[in-house]
Amino acid sequence: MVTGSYASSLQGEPRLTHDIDLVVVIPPGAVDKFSGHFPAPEFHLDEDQMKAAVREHTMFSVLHVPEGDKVDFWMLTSDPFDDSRFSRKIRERVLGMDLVVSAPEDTILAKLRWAKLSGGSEKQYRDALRVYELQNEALDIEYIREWVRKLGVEFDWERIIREADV
Amino acid sequence: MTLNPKPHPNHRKYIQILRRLTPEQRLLKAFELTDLGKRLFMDGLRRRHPHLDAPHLRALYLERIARCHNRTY
Repeated sequence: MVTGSYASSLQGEPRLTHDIDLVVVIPPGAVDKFSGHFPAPEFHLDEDQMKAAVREHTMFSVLHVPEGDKVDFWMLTSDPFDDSRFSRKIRERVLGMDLVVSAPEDTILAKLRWAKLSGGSEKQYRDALRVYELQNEALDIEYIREWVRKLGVEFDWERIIREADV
Repeated sequence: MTLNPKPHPNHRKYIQILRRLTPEQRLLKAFELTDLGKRLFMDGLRRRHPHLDAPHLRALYLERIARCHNRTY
């Protein structure tokens, strides 16, 4: 599932970004098959880091060596928000592919959570604000309010309500 | 609290324009901006380090890009 700034670019304001964030489910038995898709020297994938991430439900990165591009693979956790956003994922037809993307409400919530975790990131806040402004009437506000409370991101959510210019 | 003092008089128009784009067009715009950013970054390095040959410049570029990963909040 595509999340992060590519999701906010799809649903809000397009912007430059250094990496692609994906939430994934990789069964332990599929590790070798997965890493086979990213052969060295074109890609850098630390297999020990990847196995640890699969085991401990954390994250690992794949680097495209010639260009320096990075994909962060976030393992799906049992965290209730992860559970909720993964179950609400949507499909977008992009560049001839069916892309699985987080729903706009969850893109906003994830951005607000990152803003809080990073100590008040304006970039994360602005991404969330723009998704709110673009998607506006299509958003499930009750769902957002419920998770705003659970995630403790009331401060930035109230700021969005105050500052959104739509 | 507003930390962005920059005025944005055409903001509603801007939002309307972005809304009219398809999700695919917005994603392509993000790719385009990212590509432009990378080219500008490389150009800046080339100007600051005119003595470096292409492979060394490439190595410097990759080193600098790696520093940006997950640190540009």
